[in-house]
Amino acid sequence: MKLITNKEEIVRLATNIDNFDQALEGGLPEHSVILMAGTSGTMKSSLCFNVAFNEIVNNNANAVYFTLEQNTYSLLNQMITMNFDLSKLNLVRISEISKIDENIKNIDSSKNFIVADVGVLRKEVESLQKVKPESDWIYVIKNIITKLKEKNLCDIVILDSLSALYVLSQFKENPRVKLFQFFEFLRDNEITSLLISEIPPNGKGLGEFGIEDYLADGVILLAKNREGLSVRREISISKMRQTCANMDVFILDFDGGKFRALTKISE
Amino acid sequence: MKKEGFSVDQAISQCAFSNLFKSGLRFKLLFITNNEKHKIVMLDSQSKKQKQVNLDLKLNKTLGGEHINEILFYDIDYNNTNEIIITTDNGRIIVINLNFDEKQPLSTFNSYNVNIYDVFSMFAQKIQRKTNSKDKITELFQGEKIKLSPKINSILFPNIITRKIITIAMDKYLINLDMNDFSIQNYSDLGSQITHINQINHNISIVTTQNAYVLAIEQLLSNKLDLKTALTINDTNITKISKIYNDLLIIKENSVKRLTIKNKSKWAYNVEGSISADILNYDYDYDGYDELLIVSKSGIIHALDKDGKVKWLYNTEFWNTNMPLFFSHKGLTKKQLVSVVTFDGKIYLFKPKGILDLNVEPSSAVMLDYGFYDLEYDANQYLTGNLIEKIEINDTILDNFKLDNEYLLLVSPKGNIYLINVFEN
Amino acid sequence: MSFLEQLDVVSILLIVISFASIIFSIYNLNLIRKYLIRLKEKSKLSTTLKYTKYFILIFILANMILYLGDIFFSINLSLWYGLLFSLRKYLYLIITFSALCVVYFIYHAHTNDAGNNPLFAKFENRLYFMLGVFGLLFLYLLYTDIVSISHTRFLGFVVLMSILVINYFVYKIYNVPASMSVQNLDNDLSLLTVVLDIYILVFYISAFVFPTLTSNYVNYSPIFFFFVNLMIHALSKKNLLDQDRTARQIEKTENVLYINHNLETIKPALSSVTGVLIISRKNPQEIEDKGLFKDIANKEYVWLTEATEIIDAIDPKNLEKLLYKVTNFMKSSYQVPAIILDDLGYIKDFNGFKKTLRFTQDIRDHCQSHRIMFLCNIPSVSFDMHEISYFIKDFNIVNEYQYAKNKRPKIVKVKKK
Repeated sequence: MKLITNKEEIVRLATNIDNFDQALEGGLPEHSVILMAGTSGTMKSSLCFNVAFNEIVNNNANAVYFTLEQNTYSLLNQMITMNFDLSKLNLVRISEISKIDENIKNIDSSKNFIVADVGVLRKEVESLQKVKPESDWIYVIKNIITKLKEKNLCDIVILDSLSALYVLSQFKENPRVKLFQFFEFLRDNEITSLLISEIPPNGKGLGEFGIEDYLADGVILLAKNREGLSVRREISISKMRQTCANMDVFILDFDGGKFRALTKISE
Repeated sequence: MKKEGFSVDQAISQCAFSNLFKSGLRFKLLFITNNEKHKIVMLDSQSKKQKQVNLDLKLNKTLGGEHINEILFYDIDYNNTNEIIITTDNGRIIVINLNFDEKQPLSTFNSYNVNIYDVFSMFAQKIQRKTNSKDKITELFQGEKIKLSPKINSILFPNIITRKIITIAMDKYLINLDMNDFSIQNYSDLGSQITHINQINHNISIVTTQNAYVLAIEQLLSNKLDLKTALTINDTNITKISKIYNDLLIIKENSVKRLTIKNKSKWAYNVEGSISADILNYDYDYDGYDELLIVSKSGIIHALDKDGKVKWLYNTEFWNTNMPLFFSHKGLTKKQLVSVVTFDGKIYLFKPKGILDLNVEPSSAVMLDYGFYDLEYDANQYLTGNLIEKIEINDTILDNFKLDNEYLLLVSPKGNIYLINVFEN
Repeated sequence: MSFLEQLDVVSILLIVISFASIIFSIYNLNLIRKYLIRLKEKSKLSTTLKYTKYFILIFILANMILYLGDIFFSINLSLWYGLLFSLRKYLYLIITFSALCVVYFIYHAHTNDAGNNPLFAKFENRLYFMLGVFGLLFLYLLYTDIVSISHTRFLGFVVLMSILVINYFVYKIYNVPASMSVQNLDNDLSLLTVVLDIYILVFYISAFVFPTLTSNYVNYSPIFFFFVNLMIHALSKKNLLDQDRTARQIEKTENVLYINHNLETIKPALSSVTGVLIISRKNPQEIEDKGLFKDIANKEYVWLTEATEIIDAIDPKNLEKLLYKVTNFMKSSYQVPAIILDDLGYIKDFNGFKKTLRFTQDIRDHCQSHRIMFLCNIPSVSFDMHEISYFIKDFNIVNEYQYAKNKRPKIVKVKKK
């Protein structure tokens, strides 16, 4: 990161949500760690995919999606039902530990959407008690990111989800230090990171340890609001460094393959 | 790099290794296959033949089966031939002769149930049990029902030939079994579940229990198991205990501590990532002092001296789940090297001593580790591993063994075996 | 007697009005000039209209000379007055013929790009206009002595009726509210126009009733002149002088709330519109079949219905999406866009009054910033007077549509809870 001389030097990634990019002064600041926090069913994965898809198609970027619990095909099928045209992407799946290097070696230089299916990687080792299969997956994630970055194949990282990462990487001891180290790793590698965080049921904080929002560069909040018999999704910017953001709550609408942030009409 | 390889064509979850001869490449490998109906597969390197035994154990725990805890080679009957020893979490010890007939059903093998109810019943009343030994069973308290976990955590084999006693750890008890019929000879109640036993020397074993006691047990030259608490360490979550000189090396998930026999801490060293592999404790650079090579699942190799000072570091960037191995090849020229393998199929061969790497900044992750504060280095100097070669095999590595001080034997979970001569270029 | 001693109240009043008329004339000359420039740019200037501007100029200048004469008369400058008096007949002749051009000009100003003249399409509008024009032309001809009638009172009656008819016509077609308040009027000239109009009415009613008292001070030219002033001012107010809205100096955008109207009656306001967004609870196909907006090249529909599986339908509860649709429409490149929101009461049924008010205010604000016409229709049965008063603050109100007398609907006043 370097010191800028004026605001226009900040490169921004469009979220491709109509009306929301204006609220972000153009989009998400590049190389930031952004928390996408919300309860279940608030379209966190879809929105992250939307950002990555837009960048890949319009700016020839490369994105890697770490799915820790959801199967690759389940994820991609979900995006197809939302009318994303996956034929515009070079889809790469990392699903074997021994073939990580080989997969990365064969990737094209741009427009890649790489899915690192950590769920499948876990299955590969789940019966190997010697390896302690339910721990230290953060190093696997870092390993993949480092290798992709060396080949300039990693502009955007999506982690789905932080909660799953905590379980798989013993974050309970010194979570603040470990999380900080991880965020710094992402920043040092100049990656725009979208970390999906499930807001715990008790509602305290935006993640399990209540510190995620302090350490992140930006926080986008997603929620569901019940109005009578109908349920509406809402999106708002809770925090965004390097941005004079509009912190209003918008209604998140998805129609005809496009996301929109609709201005809420107050009473 | 000369590589040989063959395969057992089955996915495996555990393996054990027996080097049948002190030199030469003849060995036997034991595998437990990784499927519902587990099998023991034994591979003879000379004949390249495999023998299989179906472990009709219904090992899927969810169906109420039992789980294999450990497999190893051991000459349990001291007839100069190793047997295959299998322990399960259901209290069974299975002993299989190496010359087994594949067609033999498992039931015909020696299988000894260390019947928990036998142990249990000992608590019900005072029992005097007649055994072959002259010793009597220690009197027990009466009437209290205790829940026992039948899992046999460890088998400790006395290495004194006269003593034909196997000591096992079951739940919170150390139990002596007669090697002939595996009958319970005596036992000791250690107060909480035993997690591990390490034999330090011929008569000292270290036992760790769940409630943080570490006990040194002195076994006397009798069948009686006397508990002599050489030291008691209040420490939790110890995974392993090893030794360094006359001190203990207490290994936990993210740290290594050197403790004197009088419970005084000499040094402690923290690592990132879990330590799941044994520590290499050897004077591998021939400076007269033992060195430690610690690897963890963060991928970082830590070379320490006996005083806990870092000699060099290296980041392999993937899980290190196997013990580093030291190779010393005395040919025309003396060669030594250390091998570290990562789970994703990479073998790193280092010279034992580190090398200066000028103007290298450690990564932020490395710098934040506590142990690194002891590292003495100038701003422009950094000691890193002196990498000789990095070999890649397109396979994951479950275990590694040393063969003939020259060959590295690698076993993958897919059942592939690789033999690499580390000194050949 | 000195000049000052000869001045009395009436003459002072006449002087003031004359000066004001001169200033007003200059303003109107400027407006007409602008209008003609726009027409010229768009190559719509017909041959007749090219010469019309000269006659309009003559008409206005001739009137200005007559005003000067009035001033001289009032201050008893007999030399100048005498000169002008002798020219009086010829001046009126010129005024009469140039007035015809003014009439043509007024007619042309209401013709849209498609060549239709919706204002004069209705018979009654044509009737009122012709009556008024005929009456006043007759008056001017009387001044020229080409036509003479002996009865002064009859003359006065004709003039008075013409004034009344013309005024009624003007107020009617430009929908100046019958119950208008000062706040609703433009801040500059509407008030002046109306005040002068009232003066003329009062003056000539009194002239009709008391002919001998005011006979020396009768000056009929201001009647027609103010009529033209009003027309021109109304034209500028209604954006008909300026088809290119980006060049026009806009003080207020056209946000109009129609009470008890419907799409048919709102339609005339869209005569110059080139692109329209119609938000209605009616099926768009039904609106298309009626051919209501067939003159408008670009039409977009939003169907307000809870059956959102229909394409281009929006749930009336989803005001945010509706607002989004509106703001999206504003990004379009139509030259003269407009937004029609039909039946605000339907939206109020689903969302409550407060949210509906906020919603209309949001649209109004957006329309103002983009200078887009926003026409909104509310049925008075859905809103009580207190609620309507909130809208009056933000909108120009057009009250219920004036049906023929026997079909006139009643406003049902809902008692405030």
